[in-house]
Amino acid sequence: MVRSLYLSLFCLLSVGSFLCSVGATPAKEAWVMHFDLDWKVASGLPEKAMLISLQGLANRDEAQLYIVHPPDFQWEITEPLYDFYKRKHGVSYTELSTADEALDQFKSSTKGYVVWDKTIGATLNVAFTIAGLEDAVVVSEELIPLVEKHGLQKIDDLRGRYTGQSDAEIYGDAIDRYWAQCNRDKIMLMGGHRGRTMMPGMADWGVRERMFFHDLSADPEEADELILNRRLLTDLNTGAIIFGWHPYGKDTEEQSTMLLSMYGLKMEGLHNLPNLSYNCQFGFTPGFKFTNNHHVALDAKLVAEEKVYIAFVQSDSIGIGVWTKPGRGKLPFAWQVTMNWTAFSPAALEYFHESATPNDYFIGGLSGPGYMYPNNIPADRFPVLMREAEKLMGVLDEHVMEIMDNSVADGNVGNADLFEETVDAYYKAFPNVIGFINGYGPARTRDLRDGRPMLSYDYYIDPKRPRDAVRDDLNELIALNSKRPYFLLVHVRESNDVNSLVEIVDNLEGPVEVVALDQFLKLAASNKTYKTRFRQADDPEHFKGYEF
Amino acid sequence: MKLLRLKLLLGILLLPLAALATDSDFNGRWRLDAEQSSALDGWSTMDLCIEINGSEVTLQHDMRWRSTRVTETNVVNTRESVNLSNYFRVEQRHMAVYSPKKSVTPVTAGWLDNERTLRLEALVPVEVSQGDATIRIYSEYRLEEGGKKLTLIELHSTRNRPLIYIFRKLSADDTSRP
Repeated sequence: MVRSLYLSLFCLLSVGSFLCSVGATPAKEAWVMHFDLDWKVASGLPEKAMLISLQGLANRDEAQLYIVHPPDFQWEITEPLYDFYKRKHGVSYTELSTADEALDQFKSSTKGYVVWDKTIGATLNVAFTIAGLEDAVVVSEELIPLVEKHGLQKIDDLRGRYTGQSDAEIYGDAIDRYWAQCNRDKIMLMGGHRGRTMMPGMADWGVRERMFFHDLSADPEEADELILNRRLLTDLNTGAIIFGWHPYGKDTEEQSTMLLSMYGLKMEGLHNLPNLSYNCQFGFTPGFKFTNNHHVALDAKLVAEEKVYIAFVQSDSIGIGVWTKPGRGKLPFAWQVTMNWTAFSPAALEYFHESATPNDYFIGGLSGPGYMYPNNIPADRFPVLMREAEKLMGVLDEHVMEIMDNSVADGNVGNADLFEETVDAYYKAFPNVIGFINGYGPARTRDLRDGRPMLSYDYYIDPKRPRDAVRDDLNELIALNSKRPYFLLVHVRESNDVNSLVEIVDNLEGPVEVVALDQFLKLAASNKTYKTRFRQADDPEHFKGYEF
Repeated sequence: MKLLRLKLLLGILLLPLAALATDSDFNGRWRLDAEQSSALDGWSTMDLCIEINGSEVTLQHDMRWRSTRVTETNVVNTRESVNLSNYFRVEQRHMAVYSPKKSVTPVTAGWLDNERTLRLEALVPVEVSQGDATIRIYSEYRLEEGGKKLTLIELHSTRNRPLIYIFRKLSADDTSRP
């Protein structure tokens, strides 16, 4: 009872915080632009970068500009969410077809422009930083006539300032000039695609929130960049969020996420996640309450039969997954929800919940109230972060926590296991969950305490792997794990399609049953045929980590 | 004395076979033809380097996964069974099937088809979520006429369909790695 009152209070505070940040109900009149897939620096990027910076400014005080991306853009939900805003929030949109029209409509939101140098990628990030601080749009030189046509004045020009300099030198200078004025609760790691294609879809959010933009490496081999990266992380306020994504080719996701986790910070990606400056201004529709498709009660006791139980989970954030593709609903599927979207994109979460089939089951993650690697979270920050995660899971009606620590893994292979003390900390922090799941690629952290299992993925479905090979792999696992019941937890990479999984399941050998994840965990609690195991000191490690 | 004579006689008889194998077309670096082969899982590319020295056959696996390179070698003997610690198998790395830390894999090897086929049989201990298990892997390395193509057929006791890997021989002066 106390807990439910606490959660209700949290919900009210959460909604209240949205309204406080907005200051008013979101606008019923708004504008929309449709983007194509051309993000090349030599062609489509400069105009998109300018429009995204304009979006961040236009949406600073009210939700005015929304961008729809093609269905094959990584974030596939922009069109369904656009429909959702019209249908559920009664927003009426006016189409803006050109940059000229957009500038005409929103030029009053901006005080001028800043010029970036297309031959030096890092200058775009510096320009975005200036844009947020000075209310400017970012332009490459060929767009100067266009913005000047609309009366915008030059605020800064980065052409020539950084010629011949390394990224470390450029960002070192930018830190000296701008960091003191930037938001210390949020920072934009605008990495991801680099070189001839850049995809700064999340820049609207960084501009709106006056964040510092960078793509500094977390690779110890690039010590000059790592030093600056760590300086920024050190300067952030406790509980801050790193938005964006690690820079491809400079470091790895594992290094980047491990580094920020060591500071007790959390990541919210990706670099191309669009429209946060718009989405953040909408709360949940009146009367909406998250109701998950639970298949078992929290205190239920199930008894496993002598068969193979399979559960499928997709964890790459539901917004980039198979959600919008045909076949969803044919199999029980668990979806890891990006819990922080309760603050940044509530409408997206509401859209997912309202379009869920009875076979879609939502779970919390990833590792906490954002993406982080728990083996590396400082002990004094862990309970605080997990309390935050537990509250969010309460709001979202979720009973299962998904954990991932790839700090010493090699992409989706290798060691993704948890130390015993990390497992201890999770059991302590989440007394009311049905159980935990762990991994991304396969892992071997397993335990059962108080009737609540912690199981790792026994298989990861690579979307490129031929389906007959996936079937043979699963059959081999079933043969190798010959005791019954066998609990086979499968991670489905986001771009797999559900229809192909249906066919695979139909061709598995033995007494196989696909069940919802909550049933799976309850069944796994009834007969522990799996071995308890934690990460061991002499397990293989791909990345040796950082020295403080 | 009688035993020594018998051993000498056996040695003399086997010498030509050993010499033949040493000059074998198997020797050299072989590169996986991924298009024609069973799909690798968790590996991008693979070279197989074979060196025959008498009855000893060295099978070096030069593996690549993104920027990660792994080189692992199994040395088998066509005359006697060997017990290999750290036996390397071309594993499907997205399966939770691990090599136990302290394990020994008994491997038998032999020549078939007038030394055109190398046969291996290995009892590979693995660690899975339910504990320890064993995969019996029967492999044939079949050399095609002309010595330019090598086919590895791998049958697992735990799989009903074989894994088939096709390799093309690299020229002796090709020092590239996968």
